[in-house]
Amino acid sequence: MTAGDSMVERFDGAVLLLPYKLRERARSVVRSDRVRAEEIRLRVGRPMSVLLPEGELTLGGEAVTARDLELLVEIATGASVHSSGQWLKDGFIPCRGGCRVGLCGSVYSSGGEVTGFNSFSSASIRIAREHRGIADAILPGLFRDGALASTLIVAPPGAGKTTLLRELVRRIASPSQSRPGLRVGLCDERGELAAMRGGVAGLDVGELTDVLDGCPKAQGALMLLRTMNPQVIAMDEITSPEDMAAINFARNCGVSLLATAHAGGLSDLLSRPLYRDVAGVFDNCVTVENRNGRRIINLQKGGAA
Amino acid sequence: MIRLLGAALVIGATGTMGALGVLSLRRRVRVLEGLIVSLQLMESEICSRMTPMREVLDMLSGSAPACVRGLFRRATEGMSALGRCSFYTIWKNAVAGSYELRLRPQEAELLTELGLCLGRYDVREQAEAIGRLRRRLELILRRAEAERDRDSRLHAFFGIASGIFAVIILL
Repeated sequence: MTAGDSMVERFDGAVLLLPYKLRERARSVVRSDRVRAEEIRLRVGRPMSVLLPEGELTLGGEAVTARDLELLVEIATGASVHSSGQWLKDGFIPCRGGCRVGLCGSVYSSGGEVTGFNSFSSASIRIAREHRGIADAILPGLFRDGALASTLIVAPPGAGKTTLLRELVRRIASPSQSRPGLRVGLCDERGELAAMRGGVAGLDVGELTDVLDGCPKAQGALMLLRTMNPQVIAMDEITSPEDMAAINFARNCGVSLLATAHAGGLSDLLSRPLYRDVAGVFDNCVTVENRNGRRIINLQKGGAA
Repeated sequence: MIRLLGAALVIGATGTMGALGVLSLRRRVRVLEGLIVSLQLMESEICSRMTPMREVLDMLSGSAPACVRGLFRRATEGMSALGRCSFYTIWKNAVAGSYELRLRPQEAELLTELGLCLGRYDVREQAEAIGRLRRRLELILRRAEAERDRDSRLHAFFGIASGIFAVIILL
């Protein structure tokens, strides 16, 4: 199976999350666009669209209704909102195959915390992507004296942080002729990185990777440290002080780190209070930019500062 | 001799009808008990283990009391249509298709209404809906038990008595 076939298969998998009446419309997308599709987007009162690297492609046809979004949530949760409770409160539902349904609408809250959605107004089905080879250029630079230097991937949403992280994990955890593989503990809170199903990773994350999925990152990092003796801990999207605390703790235990963070760039990241300690924790910083549909990856060595 | 045989057949037939009436009353009690036990299991799975609905239904179609398994089996089979129709429709069809339960309209309606809440709301709300239905079914069960205790002998007596009466008339 070629990489293109694999992407088409992932797109078709994402289409299965749509209500029946919208599936045919989504299946009418031409193969070249299916291969490049990053998200399927639904907004109440507007036709469905597909997000391509160069922008959104409207599919036309009937406008999406609120009922369609309710059905989408029902399909994505397997009619089991209770099983996706915490995720749903955070506005997303992890699905099979590494897809993620992000939701928007009217929320209701209690005690200052979001407890659920009253109604949905839009949704985006993010399609998990595997881009073999995208880390080739930067991979050798991530090692220092044969050991992986802790690396932070910084990029704005949708630029491809998760895809790059997955590829890095796959390469690092796979033995090659030039170097042995490293044991990677992958903390996959949203189930997007490895797409675990019945104990088997749906996306290739390397031979020596142990995946802890569905677990909050901060807790997961500590669990991996205690139980799996990792050489590297990888996690997506550092977003809270708890995540930063866990990262600091792991670093002090002598484990290398691979993580991602949302930011327009490194200076943008360091201007935020949460990430002030980042410079002392990570040795390398990788930025990802999306310019006119082309992904540009830059490695900045010798400290994230 | 033929008359005697005929009389035995008539009494046997009406007696069987009486016995079927008794069995039907007992069965109704068993079905209601089965539904209550299944709802308890369902509540535990949803509230304690956050088990996805498909797995809950699959588990109940194998381990619920035998007399109510058909309902959960139909619902499990119906889950493949999720997306074409809502879970409520799947559940409603499963209840409507479970003729073997011989539910009365009010009971079927109560059970169908549960589908509006199952898998749709958070744990607390689902637990409340299941608990509410269980309490209603427990009330119905108590009435069904009283009905069984009261009417079983009546069914048996009238079954045989009507046979004897018919024989007397015919002879």
